[in-house]
Amino acid sequence: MFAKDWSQRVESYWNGICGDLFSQLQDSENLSLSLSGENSLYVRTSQAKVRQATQVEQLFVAMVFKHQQKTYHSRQPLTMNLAQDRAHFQEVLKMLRKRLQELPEDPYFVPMKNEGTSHFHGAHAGPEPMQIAEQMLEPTQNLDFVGFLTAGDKVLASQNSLGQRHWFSQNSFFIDYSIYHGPKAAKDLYSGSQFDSKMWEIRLGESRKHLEHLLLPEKVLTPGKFRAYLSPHALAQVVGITEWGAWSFQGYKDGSSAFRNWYDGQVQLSEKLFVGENFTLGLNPRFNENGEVAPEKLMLVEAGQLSNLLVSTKSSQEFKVPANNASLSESPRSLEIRGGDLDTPMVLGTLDHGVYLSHLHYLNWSDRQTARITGMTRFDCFYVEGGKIQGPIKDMRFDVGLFKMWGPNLVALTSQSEVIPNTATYEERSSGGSKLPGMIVSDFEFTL
Amino acid sequence: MKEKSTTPVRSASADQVHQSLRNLLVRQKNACDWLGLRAYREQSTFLGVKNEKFDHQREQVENGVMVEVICDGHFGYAATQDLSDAGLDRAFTQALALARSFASRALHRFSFSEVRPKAQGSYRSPGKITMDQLGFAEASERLTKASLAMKVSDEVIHRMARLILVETSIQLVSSSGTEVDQEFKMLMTDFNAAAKRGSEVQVRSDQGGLARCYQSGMEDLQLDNILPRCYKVGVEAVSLLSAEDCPSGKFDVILAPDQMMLQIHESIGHPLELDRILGDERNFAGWSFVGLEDFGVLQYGSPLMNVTYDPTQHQELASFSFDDGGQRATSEFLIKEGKLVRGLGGLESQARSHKPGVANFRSASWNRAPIDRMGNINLLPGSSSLPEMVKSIERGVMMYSNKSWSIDDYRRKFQFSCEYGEFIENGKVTKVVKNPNYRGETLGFWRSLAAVGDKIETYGSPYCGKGEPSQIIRVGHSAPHCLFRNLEVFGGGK
Ligand SMILES: [Zn+2]
Repeated sequence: MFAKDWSQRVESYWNGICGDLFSQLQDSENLSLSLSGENSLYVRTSQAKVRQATQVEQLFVAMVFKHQQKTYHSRQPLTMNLAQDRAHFQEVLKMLRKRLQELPEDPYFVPMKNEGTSHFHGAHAGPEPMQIAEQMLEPTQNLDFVGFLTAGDKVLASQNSLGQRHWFSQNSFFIDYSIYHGPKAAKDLYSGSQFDSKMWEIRLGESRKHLEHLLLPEKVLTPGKFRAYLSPHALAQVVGITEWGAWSFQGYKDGSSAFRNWYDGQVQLSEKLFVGENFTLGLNPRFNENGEVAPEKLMLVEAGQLSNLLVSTKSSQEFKVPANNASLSESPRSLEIRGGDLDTPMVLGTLDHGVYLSHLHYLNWSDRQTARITGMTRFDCFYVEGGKIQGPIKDMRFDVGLFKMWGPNLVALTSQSEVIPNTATYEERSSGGSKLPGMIVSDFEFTL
Repeated sequence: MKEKSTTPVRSASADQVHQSLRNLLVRQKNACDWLGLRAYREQSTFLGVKNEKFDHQREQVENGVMVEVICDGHFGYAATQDLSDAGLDRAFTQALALARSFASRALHRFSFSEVRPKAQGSYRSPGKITMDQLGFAEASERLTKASLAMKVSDEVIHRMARLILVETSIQLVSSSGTEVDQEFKMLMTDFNAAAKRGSEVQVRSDQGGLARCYQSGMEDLQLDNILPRCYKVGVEAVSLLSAEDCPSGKFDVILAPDQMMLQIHESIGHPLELDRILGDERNFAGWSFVGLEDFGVLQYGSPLMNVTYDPTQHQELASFSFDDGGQRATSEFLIKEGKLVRGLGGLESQARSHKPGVANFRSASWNRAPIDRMGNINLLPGSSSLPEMVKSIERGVMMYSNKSWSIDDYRRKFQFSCEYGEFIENGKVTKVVKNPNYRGETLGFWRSLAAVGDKIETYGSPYCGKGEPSQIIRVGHSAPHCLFRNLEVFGGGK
């Protein structure tokens, strides 16, 4: 059922389809084909029981057809049924030619390039997804375990008619879970390429310990400013909101980037802050949806100064600036915030008196122009006094200026960081993620 | 039903797909307790013009089948794009294996006759004209004019005019005799402008990002409607540059229908979803402050508040005849005269909770299992005119078009911001204010509802997210202007 060679089967099929389509091109026509696919088991559970289990096998081909200064984009399903796919893509190619004629010229036409070749195939070592599901549930039976398992193959590939050829496939899993006690929960994420039932039991044991803090009496805070520790997962939520255009050069030009004043040098953030794209994390291939290859590392923030934004080839054409082959949305794909000098075991002592924020929820800009963020505390957040956890807090709304939080209010960054894969599953399993430390800040403002 | 010649032709037409589904039913229905198939095909076209220049075109085709199997009261789901007999059989085998393997660990044992009744019928949304019929050239031309209309001065540094046209067809067949065909055409438009003076940037849009989403076709892309709206977007973006910041304090607030949409969505729609109340979303979207015991009892808001789940409204984005579980879609009151009467849950949640629900068991596409979703959630008109409401305010703010939204996982503490505000003093609008924000707690907020306008406006959103694996669903919301007393209001700044 979960053929071990799924991604290899897809790869050879994909090479055939690409060759087939490229051979049908006429003079001066160019075609780029990008594949995104998965063979995944999704299991969602509540009260340690299965609510819904779904097997999804899907492949989509993003076609970029370029001819006479025009570009046509089409995303089509690939069925792995050769007769169906051959007939279908022949029709699609005809349609692309016809519809391209109707389109206006592309004012920022990016000519196709051969961006080289690369190949990555992550070997499949762990148990089959169904076994992971069984082993996930087994030790949770006396808990109110609410978890989501995603497991299986994911492929990303890109080829074009000039000979570019990239392939990336990996078999991975994640268990995004919470263990509830009343209205509160201990929340964590276990992910990797090889599920290990012993490691899983250790993780569950840690979550259980965490749960004990939730049994302490709840602390109701009054709105005001607090010293706060943001765990790597809480910081990931903050970073997530910046992925809505803040790092985008297009966003800088059209006024939608929250970092516009920072990039213009009107604000200077903490010298402790170093941020960059780092593809050596291995969560994502360096090629984007057009097969363009980003540098392995790109510094965005150095010692608090925003030195680079993400620039796609399209923005490069439009604004006459060098591209760094960002994705079309110019969002980070593998962001790293460099760790600092605070040892993680020293976090509570250094925080001393304040709030320990394990998870945040539903962040949004409350004022994008001044990079002010609002959001909620969620799951397992605690009040700390004298360097000791006093009890869980009643959830609070915060409203903080990012330029203050990452500027004068940044007290310390932990030396240990966590790699947090992107667990989004809208339309398809995401790839990518981030590597983040924990962060202590002062004057973190609760408003409600 | 014939496949439209305007969509890229697949090797199998809709009729052939239907035949393949029936063949699978015949081959496999004895291998399980119940078998259902949902074929989902969708073509979306995205087109955009930026600063009067062609910006983007993208088209997206989805085509696949979800196979649903019940064994021992538990469902297994498997999704495939391979619509050949062999492909469907393979998906069937996978779904069957999942249903069997997890039956002993099932959260609830369902009776298939209760949660997947026999359903027969069809639906066709009112839209007519396709992108091919209008043509890319003409559509881009109109968007270019819309972009130009927003350019009211050199201070308007960015203008985006874009549209999404979506054509969807959903077929359900099942071993209990279900035969449902539904076809949708949806046009979504978005016109927005950014104005800049010094280091100040302000953004204004046509009722909020992509708020104009309707079941209609390209016939509704009409310049005589669009150009005046776009001109207003440009003018208001520039006017925000000279506006004062929204003052802070306790004020009476009138929310325009294009902000009521978001308020209804976040603080009524989501907390009333039965699957959230039952705890399915606790690891992701969240739980709810509403409990099962609250239905029929809880005074949610002031007696002026009447809210329906209504999948029957002409052109509203989430209208249909059947949900994906085969429940016939009818209009129902969720809140009547301020009292909570019904939740948003399909047949599975109704069976689990023993509470009344609605036909809202919906999936994002062929590759996701259905869950409880919002559809059209509407706040019914009252008897106050807008001028009367303004007149009744000593000091207050009228807020238009959602800009930012955030609420906690139990749906209590929210904070929303709008694009454009008008300050009201002594019963009159006196000036424009920028960055209007407000925050509050759900029940206190709805209980402060003091007047409900007499005219509704309808908007929608293509992007409501929920579920594990996650799903995006389309929703519609209609509401009049509403007056709330004594809210916590504030402006922008560091
Ligand atoms: Zn939503």
